[in-house]
Amino acid sequence: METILQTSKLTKRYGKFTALADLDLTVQKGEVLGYLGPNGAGKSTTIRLLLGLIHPSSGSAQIFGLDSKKDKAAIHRRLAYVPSDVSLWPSLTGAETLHLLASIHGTVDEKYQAQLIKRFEFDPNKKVRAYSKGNKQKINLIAALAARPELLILDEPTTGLDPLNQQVFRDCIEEAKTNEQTVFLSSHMLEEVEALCDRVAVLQAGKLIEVGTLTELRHLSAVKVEATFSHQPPDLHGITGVSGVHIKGNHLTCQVQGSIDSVLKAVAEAQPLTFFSREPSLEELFLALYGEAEKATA
Amino acid sequence: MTTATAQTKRLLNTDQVIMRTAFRRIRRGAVIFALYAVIMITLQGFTLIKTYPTEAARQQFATTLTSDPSIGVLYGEPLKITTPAGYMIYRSLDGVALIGALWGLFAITKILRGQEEDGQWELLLSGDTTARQALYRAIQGCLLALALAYVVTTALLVFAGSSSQIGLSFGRSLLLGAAVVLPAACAMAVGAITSQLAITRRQAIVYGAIPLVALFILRSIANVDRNAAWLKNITPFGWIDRLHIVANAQPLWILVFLAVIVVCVWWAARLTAKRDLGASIIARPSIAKPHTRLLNRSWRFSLRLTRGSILGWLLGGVFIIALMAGLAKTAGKAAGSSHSLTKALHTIAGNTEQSISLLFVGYGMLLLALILMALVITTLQAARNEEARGHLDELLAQPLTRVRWLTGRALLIALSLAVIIELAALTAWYTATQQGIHVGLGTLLGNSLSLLGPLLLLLGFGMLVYGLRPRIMTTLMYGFVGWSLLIDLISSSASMNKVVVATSLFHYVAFVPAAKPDWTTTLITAIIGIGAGIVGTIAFHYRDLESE
Repeated sequence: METILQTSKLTKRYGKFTALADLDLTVQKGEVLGYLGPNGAGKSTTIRLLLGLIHPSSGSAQIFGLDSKKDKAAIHRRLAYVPSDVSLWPSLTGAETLHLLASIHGTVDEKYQAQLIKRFEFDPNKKVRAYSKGNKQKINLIAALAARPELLILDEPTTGLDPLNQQVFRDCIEEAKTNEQTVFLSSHMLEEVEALCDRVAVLQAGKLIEVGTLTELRHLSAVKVEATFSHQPPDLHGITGVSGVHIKGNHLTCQVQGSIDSVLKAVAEAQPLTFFSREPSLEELFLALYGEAEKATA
Repeated sequence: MTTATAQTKRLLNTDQVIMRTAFRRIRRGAVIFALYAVIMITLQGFTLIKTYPTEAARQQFATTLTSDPSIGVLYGEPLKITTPAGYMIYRSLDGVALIGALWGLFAITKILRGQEEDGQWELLLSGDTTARQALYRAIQGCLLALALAYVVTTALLVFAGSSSQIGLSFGRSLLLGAAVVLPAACAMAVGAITSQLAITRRQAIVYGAIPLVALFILRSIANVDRNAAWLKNITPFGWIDRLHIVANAQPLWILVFLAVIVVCVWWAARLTAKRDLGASIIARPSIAKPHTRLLNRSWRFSLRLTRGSILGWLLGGVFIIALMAGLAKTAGKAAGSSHSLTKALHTIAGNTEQSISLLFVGYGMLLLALILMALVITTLQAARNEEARGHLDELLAQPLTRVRWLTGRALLIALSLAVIIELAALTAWYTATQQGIHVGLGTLLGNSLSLLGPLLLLLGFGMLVYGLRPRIMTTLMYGFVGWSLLIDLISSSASMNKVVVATSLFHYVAFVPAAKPDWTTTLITAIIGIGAGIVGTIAFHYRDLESE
């Protein structure tokens, strides 16, 4: 597979504060990578480093096999970026802004742009200062998607969008994926990441704490089990991998790490009225990962 | 039991926050203005003492100055100008008042429309206040900063005035301090109104600057034409003359200032209560047809963003040149017969044998250089604002290099300077020729370009600071020009170390057409400027973008 983006020990320090430490990350062609982390984890710093807006204290990043520090213009010709903070020129109209960004980028699929304007229900004739935050965000999204770049770098792109437009955005990313475009998606919308991303990278306090597919990550977390009985629930304490056993009346909840076989047998022997088990959502994974990371830090 | 509410610590109320924020944001500017005013005023007093040590010499000089009404365009009302106190007020108060008024306008629009534009006002209005109340508090904060300026100015003037050489009494120092800050207070009141009328801070400044400059011109007309002296009664720049600080003081004119301030603030409060947050009284269409002609290249886009201010500076520069060239013949006639004025003007302009009329046009070129320095600073500041507000992130995420962006901006500024200089020179030639003053068009157009030397030096200096420490660029650039003015002022009347004199940008401004430019010096200053610009561009290439 072709590697589109690769960082090697990418580090950014501001004095004594390390915003990003030794980031090693690879993104393959056609992949959608979700980049997660709480506020201040270093997500936007990573993106600004990749774009060459700020310079690394050490380490390097390569995009399309080119050095992100030295070959910025050549790299930017092949990617498009949506920033988290929309800061467009208030005196321009939406149409003028789209024209400006397309002219400077040098590539635009005008038909697709017109289509996106319709799909996002965007009125391009207003001045930027008159748009709501969501509509300003649409300008950046339309400009980036209409450039049909090989790589889309999106920093919290759906902030301010209503649920309908969030769905339009998801459809667009699915289309980009079909067209073998690569997407680097930094987001707080875990549902969105879960729906769109092939792999997820999780960042905390400037360090990459986990990276993998959702399936791989789910192995790191426990399966939730819930069962109801007509009598006192069985005692699951002592079974390997079981934790958080909680009994309330005839209702049992617990978490199981690793194989669920022993738990299934114990519950089946007690003849449950209902039994329910599910994999953790990304949100639960995210919280579990942070809980562990925070414990490790403590 | 302790409730959540009880645990909440009560800090300041919203009105107090608004007032303190306004005060804190402009107090430094207020103190700098006060220091600038005191330096400019007192220097004139000491200059008179040094240049004209005897009463007879001062008398002769005063007779010459007052014999030519056209000089009134530049200076104030000649009252007791043979005394250092009278002379320093005559020579500097009007200029200081104009600078103060412009500063006041910039400061109030920053606090009112600027904060509203940046979304901070919305946050403040979500507190326990109303739009009207918030406006009053913000203005109060600004006026407090101005009161601080008054205290600094007056204290220093009292100190300087107590010297036996200057001889300005305590009471007159208090009045002079008031004359320094009151035009700024008036401009703040005007700016409070224009901040309601305009949708952007830039527009609010333009809307406010137009009446202020018009009021200053009215004062100039009143000074030149004795039949129009009544015009002084309708302009704040005339009221400071009416205060008669050094003779038969009329402090009641302060009440006129205060009345205007109260009326303007009251009107601004009415307007703010009438409009929605984020909107303006003068409605601008939020829907427009796209105009894409200047959006195809980054430098064209820079032109689109700055064309309004460049046009403003162009009109200002041409107006000053037309005014100075228009008065050149009268000035030449009046001053030609006076040895003392000829001597004074020669001191300012250097040792030249050209006629006083041409020297007067040359003085206009010096003022043009000052205007163009302001153009360099404001347009480079606009570039810095692009970065500070995050707009540059959008551009540099495209296939556009930093070097191309910054050099495009710099070339645009340099080209604008050249065009304005040439248009001003053409205006000077036309106006002078109409009066029968012979100036060769080709020579004037060619020699005027020597102004580019110091201007490119300032531009290069600005780019160097921008590349290294963008946040302090504007302050250092204004500081450089302020320093140059100071050195020029002192060196025109007293001998100074040559190296120190060479640090002034005005040292490299030739009094074209009265004097021939030193092309070697022009070339050297331009090369130093370009060199500094290149170093600044390289530094910019290697540094991180810094937003606000």
